[in-house]
Amino acid sequence: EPRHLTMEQSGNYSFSSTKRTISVNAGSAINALSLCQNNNKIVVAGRSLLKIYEIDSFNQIREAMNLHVGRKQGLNMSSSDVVWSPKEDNMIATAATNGAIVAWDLNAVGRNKQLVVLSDHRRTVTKISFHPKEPSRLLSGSQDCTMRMFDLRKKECTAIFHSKADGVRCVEFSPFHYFMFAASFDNGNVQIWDYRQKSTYLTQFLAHKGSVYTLNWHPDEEEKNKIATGGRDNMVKIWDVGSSNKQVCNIPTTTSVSAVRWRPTHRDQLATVSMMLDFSANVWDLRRRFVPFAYFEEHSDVTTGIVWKPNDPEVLFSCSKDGTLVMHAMREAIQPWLNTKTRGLDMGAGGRISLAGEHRSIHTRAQSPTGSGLPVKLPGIFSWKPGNFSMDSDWPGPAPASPTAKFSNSQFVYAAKNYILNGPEKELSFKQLCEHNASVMERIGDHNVAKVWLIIAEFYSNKILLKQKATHTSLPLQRTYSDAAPDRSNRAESENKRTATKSRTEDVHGSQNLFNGDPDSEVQSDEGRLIVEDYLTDIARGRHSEPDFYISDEDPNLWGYGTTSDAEFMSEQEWSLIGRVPIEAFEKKESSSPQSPSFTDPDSDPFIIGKKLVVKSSEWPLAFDDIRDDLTMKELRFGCFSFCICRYFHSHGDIQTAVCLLVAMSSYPTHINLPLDDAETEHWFSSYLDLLFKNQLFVQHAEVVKLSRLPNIRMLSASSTIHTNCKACQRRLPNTRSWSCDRRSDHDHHVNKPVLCFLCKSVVKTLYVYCQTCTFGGHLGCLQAWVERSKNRGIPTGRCSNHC
Amino acid sequence: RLEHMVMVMGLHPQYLQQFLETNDHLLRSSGALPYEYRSYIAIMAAARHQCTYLVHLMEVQFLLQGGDREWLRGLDHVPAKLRALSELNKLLAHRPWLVTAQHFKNLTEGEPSTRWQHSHLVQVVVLLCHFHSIAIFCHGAGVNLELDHPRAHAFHTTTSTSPRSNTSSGAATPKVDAKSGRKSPASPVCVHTAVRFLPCEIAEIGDVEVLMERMRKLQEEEEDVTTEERSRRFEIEKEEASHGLLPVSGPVGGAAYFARYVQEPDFSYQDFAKRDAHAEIPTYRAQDYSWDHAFTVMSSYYNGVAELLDEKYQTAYNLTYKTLATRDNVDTTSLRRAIWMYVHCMYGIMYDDYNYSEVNQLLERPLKLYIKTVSCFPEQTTRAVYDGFWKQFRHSEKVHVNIMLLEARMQVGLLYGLRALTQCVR
Repeated sequence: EPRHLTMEQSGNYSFSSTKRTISVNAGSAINALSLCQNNNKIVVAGRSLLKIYEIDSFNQIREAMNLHVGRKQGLNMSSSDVVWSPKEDNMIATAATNGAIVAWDLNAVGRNKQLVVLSDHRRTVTKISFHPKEPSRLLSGSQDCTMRMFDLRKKECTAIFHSKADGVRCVEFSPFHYFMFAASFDNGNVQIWDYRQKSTYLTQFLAHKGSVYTLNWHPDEEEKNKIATGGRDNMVKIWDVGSSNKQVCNIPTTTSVSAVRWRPTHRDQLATVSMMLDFSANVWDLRRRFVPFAYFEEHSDVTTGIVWKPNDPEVLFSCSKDGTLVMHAMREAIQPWLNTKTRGLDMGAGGRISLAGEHRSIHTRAQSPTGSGLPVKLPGIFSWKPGNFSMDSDWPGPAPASPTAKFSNSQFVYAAKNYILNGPEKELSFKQLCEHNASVMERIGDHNVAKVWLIIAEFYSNKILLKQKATHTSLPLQRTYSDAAPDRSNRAESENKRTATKSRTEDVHGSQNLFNGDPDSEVQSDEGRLIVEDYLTDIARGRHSEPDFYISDEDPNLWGYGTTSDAEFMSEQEWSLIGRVPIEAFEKKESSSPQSPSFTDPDSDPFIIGKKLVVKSSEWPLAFDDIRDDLTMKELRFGCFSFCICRYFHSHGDIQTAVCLLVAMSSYPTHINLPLDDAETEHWFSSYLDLLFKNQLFVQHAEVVKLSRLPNIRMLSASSTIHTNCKACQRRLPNTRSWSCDRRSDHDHHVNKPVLCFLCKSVVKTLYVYCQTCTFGGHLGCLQAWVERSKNRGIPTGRCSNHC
Repeated sequence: RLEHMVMVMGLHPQYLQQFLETNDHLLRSSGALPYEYRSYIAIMAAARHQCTYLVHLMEVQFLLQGGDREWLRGLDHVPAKLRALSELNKLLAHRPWLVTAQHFKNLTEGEPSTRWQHSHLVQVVVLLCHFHSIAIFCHGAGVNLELDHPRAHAFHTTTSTSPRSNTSSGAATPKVDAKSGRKSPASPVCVHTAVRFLPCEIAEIGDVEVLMERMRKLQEEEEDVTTEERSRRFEIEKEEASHGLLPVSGPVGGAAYFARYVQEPDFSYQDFAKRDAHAEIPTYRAQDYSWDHAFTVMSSYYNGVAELLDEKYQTAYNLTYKTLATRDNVDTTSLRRAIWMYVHCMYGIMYDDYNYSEVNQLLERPLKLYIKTVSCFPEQTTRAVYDGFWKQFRHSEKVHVNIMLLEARMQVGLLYGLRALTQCVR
C-alpha cells in the first residue's frame, strides 16, 4: 500500500524553526479529529477521508496511514465523527452520516482494518464517545433521538437510551464519574445519565435556546462536575451539574458554537470553534469573558474540530473544511487582550475611587444608576482625576479584570438620616447644629469630617445667626486672632523653623516661579490663581487649615488628643502641631508621587495647591501685612475657605459633606456669599440628590431640595410626585384611588390581591397590623377592637403558636 | 376580511400563527430593506410562479406602503438595483442548484447605486424563497382570487362547475378587463374551491390500509440496506421523478401579465437528474450545509428572522394530528418525512441517512404527481391533479401536504441560496 505522500503534499508542510504552528493538507474536507492516548498520533475523518497522522519528536506531522483506500467505500465511510480509544492504541471508531458506526482495528492484517460495522441507528450519528476506562465501551448519539451503548467485544448494541427529547447532538462520558455521561439535544436540553439506569436520565436542564451542538466535561478532577456547553444561541455556558444544575458562567460569542474543549491544566480556559462564518479557533478565559484570550486564524474555511494535547496545554490541534490539519502553538496565537485598553475601577469604603489604567490621563465618569427620575435634572456626573493615588500610575500588571463594585454606603445613609440641616426649624444656632452634625460623624468614626463641622462652626457661629440681625462690625473671631498676638513670638519661632525646613523641599520643587510671576512656569486659570491667593491669606493668618486636613488625612490619630471643640484648639493645639508634622507629611507625599505631572495642574486637587503654597511660605509675611486689616478680604477668606473645603471633599468623592455644609449654612436667614460657581454647586447638589434617591431617602431628598438656594434645584420640588405601583401587576396606580389597581378584576390579580382587613373586609389603605407567622391581620383599629372584644367575651385570640 | 390564503391555511391554526408572524416580520418589521422594496421583491417572486392571486395581493400592499405606481408597469421602470435581482429570482424559483457565489458577487460589486450588501441579500433571499413557496401553496391549494380583484367576480360566475379556479383565471388574458366589471351573483365566502367539495369518496378504504401497513412495516423493518444501495435508490428516485411524472397540462396562458415582472419567462424547472451534464453540479449533501448552517448565517445577517423561520419550519415538520383519513392515532412520521424527502430529492438535496425506497413505498403515484407538479410547475396544477391523490382523505389533510410542500420547497431555496451566499462572503 503506497503512502500517499506525493511531492505536492509535502510542499504543504511548513517547516520553520521559529514558527511552531504546523499545518498539513489532508486533501479534502475534515469533519473531526481525535488524538491517541500517547498523544503522538492523530486521526482525521471526513466525508471521503480517514487518515492517521503521526507527530514525530521534531514536532512535525506526517501521514502514517490512510484508511480510506480501495474502491468507493460508500456512505459508511462518510464520517461525521471519529474517536480514538483512550485506552487501546489500535482502536478507533468512526460515526457515519448514514447512521453506521465503524470500529477499526489498526493492528489488523491486510487492507481492510474494519473491525465491525454497527448499523443500529436509523439516522445520522452525530457524536461518539469511548468510555475513559473501559476500552470496549462505546457510546453514540444520533439524530434518531436515541443514544446507544456498544460493546465492541460482543460487537453489538448493549443498551438504548431514549432521550424523549429530540435529536442528539453530543454525548460524552464523564472522565471522573465512572457510570455517568452527558448528552445534549436539538431542543436545547442537556441530560445527565447513569448508564446502569437505562430507563431515564438522572437530571435534565434547559441549557440553550436552540440546539446544543457541543458539550465537554472539565478535565480537571477538582472540577469534575463542571460542563461546558455551546449552542446555536451563540453562547458558551458553564454548568455545575453536581447537586443542582446551575449555570456558573457564560461566554457570549459571535456565532453558533460547534465545539468547545477545556484547556488542560488551565482551569478557566477553553477553546471554541464556530459553526459558520467565523473560521478561527478561539481560546476564552472565563475571567475575561468578552474578548477571546487568544485566537488562531490559520484556516480558510469553517473549523470543524479541535483537540488540546492533554500533556501539553500549549498545543491545540484543529481541523477544517478547507482540508487542513493544523497544530497551533499557543505562543503564536493572536492575543487581542494585549491590544485592548484595560481599566479597573473600584470604590473604597471612604468614598474614594481608584482607577487603574495604562495612562494617568484617563478620566472616569460616574453616573447615578437610577437617576432621580425627574425631568429637570442635571446628569449626575462627577469626575475624578487619577493621580490622587500614586498607585494608579505604578500599577505593576494589567488592570484587574473586573472592578468589584461594593460601595458600602451604610455610613452615607446614617449620616444622611441623622444630619440636621435645617437649623432654624429646630431652633438651633449654627454652632449647635454643627456640633450635632459633628457628633454624628464622631459616632460613625469619621473624625475628619467631624472636625470640619466644628471648624466651620467656629468660623461662622457669629456670622450665621438664627435671626436676621447680622452685624458686620465687630467679629469675635477677629479677636481670637488678636488674642493670639501674644503668641506671636511663639509663632514666629515656628515660622522660622518651618521656613528652614521647607527651603529644602522648595528647591526640590523649584516652584518659586509661581511667585515670581513667571507665566511660563504655570499655566493656570484665574480660578486657580484665586485659590492660590486665598490660600496664601489663610496661611498668612496662620490658619493652616489645609495642611491640617492633610495631616489628618494621612494620620487620623493625630487628632486623637486634639478633639476639643473650642477656639483654644485653633490657637494653641494647632501651633503645637505645626512644627513637626508637615515636614513628615510632605516627605511622605513627595516620596509617594515623585515628579507627578498633576503637580503642576492647579485644578487637579486643591489640596496639592495648598501644599505648594506652604512650600513657598518664605514669601508670606508680605501678604500677611497687606491683608491683615482688610475686612472684606477677611470675609472673602472665610468664603474661600469653606469653598476650598467643599472642593476638597468633592474631589475626594465625599459629596455628602460638601453639600450638607452648604445646605446647613444656607438654611439660616443670614446670607453668606460663597465664591462658588452656581453651575458647579448645582452639579454637586444633583449628585447628592441622586445618591439620596438611590438609597430611597426621600425625606432627606425633599429636605435638601427645600433648603437649597439654587433655583434649578428648588425647581425639583415642583414635580416631586412619587408614583406608587400596584403590587400585583406593577402598573402605576391611578391618582384618584391610589390603593386599588385598575386591573384588579383580572385573573392574575386574584393571586396577589390587595390586603383586606379580616374584620371589616375592606382594603387596608394605611397601617396594616399582622402576625408575622400566620399573616393574619387588618386595620390597626379593627384589630384593637377585636382583641378587646375577644377579651371581654373570653375568646382566645391566638390563631397560631404566636398568640397573635 | 381575511385573505383567502389565510382562510385555507386556517385549517391548521398552529401553523397559521407561525406563518403570519413570519410573514408580518418579513414585510412590516424593521429591517434594512425599504418596505416598498420588500413588496416589490414579493411581486417579482410571485410572478415567477405566475400566481395571479399573490401578485395582486402584493401589488395592493406595494401601493399601500407608498410604492411608486410607475414601478408596477414592469421591471423596466424600477431602479436597476431591483432589476438586478431578476436573475437570482429566476434561478431560485426554478433551478436553485444553479445559484452560485458568482451571482452574489455580481450583485455586491459594480456601481455603488446598484450594489447590494450581504445583509440585504440575506433578506432578499429569504423574501424570494418565502414568496416562491407561498405561490406554491396558493397554486397547490387552489386559492381563489380575492373579491376585490378585477377578475375575481367574472371568475365566480363561471367556476361553479369548471375544474380549477386559478388556472382558468390565469388563462384569462389581461385584455378581458372590461368584462370583469360584470356583477356576479353574491357568492358565499368561497375561499377554496377544494374545500367546498366535501369528501365524497370513502370507497377505497383499502388504500389507507395499505399505506398504514407499509408504514408499520417500515417501522419494524431492520435496516440492512447497504449504503451503496441507498445511494442507488436516491438516483432511482431522482430518475423516476424526472421521467415518470410529466405534468399533464401544457403551457398556460396569461403569462403576458407576469412577463413585466420577470426576465426569461419561459425559464422553468428542469429535472435535476437531467441537469446540464457539463455544469457538473454535484448532488447537494444535506449534512455538508444543513439547516443549522443556514440558521447561523441568517441569524448573523438578518437578526430575528432566523428564529421565526426555524419555529415555522419545526412546526410544519412536526405538525401532526395522528390521524390518517378516517383513522386515529397513527404515527405519520415516516409518511411526512417521505414527502419532505421527495421534494428535496427533486431538487437534488440528498440525505445520507434516509432510505429513499421509503418514498416509493409510501407515496402513491398520483400523490407523487401532485407533489411534483406543485413544487416544480406550480402554475400547471389543475383540479384533476389535486383530486387525483388520496381520494378518501380530508381536505385539511391535503392542505397539510401543501404546507409541507411550502416549507420543504422554501428550505430548498434557502439552503441553496444561503450556501452560495456563504461562499461569496468567505
